[in-house]
Amino acid sequence: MKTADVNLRLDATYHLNVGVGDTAQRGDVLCAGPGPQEKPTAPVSGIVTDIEFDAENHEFVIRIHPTGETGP
Amino acid sequence: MRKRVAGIVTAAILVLLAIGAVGVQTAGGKYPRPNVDSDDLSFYRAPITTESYPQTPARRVRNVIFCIGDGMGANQVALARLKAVGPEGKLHMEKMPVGGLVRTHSNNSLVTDSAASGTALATGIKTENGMIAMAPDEQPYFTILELAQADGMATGLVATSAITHATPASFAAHVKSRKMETTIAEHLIANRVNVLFGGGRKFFLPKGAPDSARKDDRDLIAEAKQAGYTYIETTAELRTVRHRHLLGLFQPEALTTAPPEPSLELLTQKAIGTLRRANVSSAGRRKGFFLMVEGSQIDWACHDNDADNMIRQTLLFDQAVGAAVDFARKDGRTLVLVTADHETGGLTFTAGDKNAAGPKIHWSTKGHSGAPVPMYAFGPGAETFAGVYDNTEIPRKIARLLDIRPFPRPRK
Repeated sequence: MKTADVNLRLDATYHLNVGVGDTAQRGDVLCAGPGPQEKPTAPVSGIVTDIEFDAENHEFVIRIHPTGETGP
Repeated sequence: MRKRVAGIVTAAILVLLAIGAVGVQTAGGKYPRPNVDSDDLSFYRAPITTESYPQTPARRVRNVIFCIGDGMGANQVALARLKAVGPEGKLHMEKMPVGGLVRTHSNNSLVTDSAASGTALATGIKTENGMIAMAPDEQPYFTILELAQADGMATGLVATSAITHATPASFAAHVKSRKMETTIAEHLIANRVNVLFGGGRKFFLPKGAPDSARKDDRDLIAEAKQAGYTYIETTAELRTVRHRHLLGLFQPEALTTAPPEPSLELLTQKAIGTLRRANVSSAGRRKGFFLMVEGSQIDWACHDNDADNMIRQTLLFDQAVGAAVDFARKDGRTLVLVTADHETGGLTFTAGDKNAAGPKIHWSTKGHSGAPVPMYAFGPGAETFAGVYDNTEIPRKIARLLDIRPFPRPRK
């Protein structure tokens, strides 16, 4: 079964912990946040294939191509 | 297998709901990039000399022009200077006689966003990232623009983003999330700001109209006209229009910052001309004006770690600063302030490689940094802005100079 890429939107204020080409594991913290409770994590494991800045919404759009374990 | 896929989807949704800051959507939404060569800086007219502008004699401040370079740290200014006028030259903002350093943290983060920093610069209070002109408990606070207006001054907002974007919004709207841009558009019109120049037409158009982003039938452009605004969309209209309330929305989204659009410099000149005529009393007495001008897209170039566009956007902003100072030097009672809401990109530079012509540029992040930002001041009261201080101090100092008290002030 082919798994679709996952696009995530993250507030562009904070430092990204991943770059294009990096492998993210499910649960990895993708970027810093204002507080410890608000750190977005990767919902799937996979390779980061694109990061785009959406100025209007002041967000990063991060595309992850799932690989390996993605389920709970 | 079906159960496994359902599990994945459920887990992903739960994670996204839990963290709040993330949404799964399609990619896209990049800002409109002009079809220009970022390396072509022929538009920029550098100052003729590097001498600082002279200090202005102490007089009561009548007008305030508050210029904000979004994401513009000291190194953004330095790199723009190196590129445009060389290491010994000066940008217009660097010729201003008073300098300061501004701390930018927000109420909930060492690294602010434009909403919290815009709120600090407009209301004098700290709030949480994302909130517009209200305290963390959602208590709205009057902005310096609103209180200047209540005191009889004319007011204006100019930006190269949508006029509903976080920084301009912070001066004339009160919402708990910067994303509420259709509501912000309503607040801007309801507040009767004399001059509103920028992009973001889509937030003013009724549902069903081409380019509309509204989910209701309100036509804010029609409402603005009914409330006495003259509405314009083109450079030609901008050049010829003369009215005390102008709504200029030059793009559905952000400005392209390239012709045939009006430049930020031209928008600033038009705003100044409009505001100085807007409230002359029958006795010929001027009550003055408050104008905020934002170079919005410095931040966007830095988020892209695009040094060429960052330099271009900084110089476009500096041209607008030059226009503000030109007016202030003739007027003698106008305070011009230039600062940033935060730094973006964690930008530094080192000497280039042996054979390289320019500096070597280093970006430490694609997000914002917590670096302090510069303040440049010119005009009566400029000396008040020397030193190191918090961003909330800036509107407090402006309020004292304009004799606006009390400040900060919660809205009832």
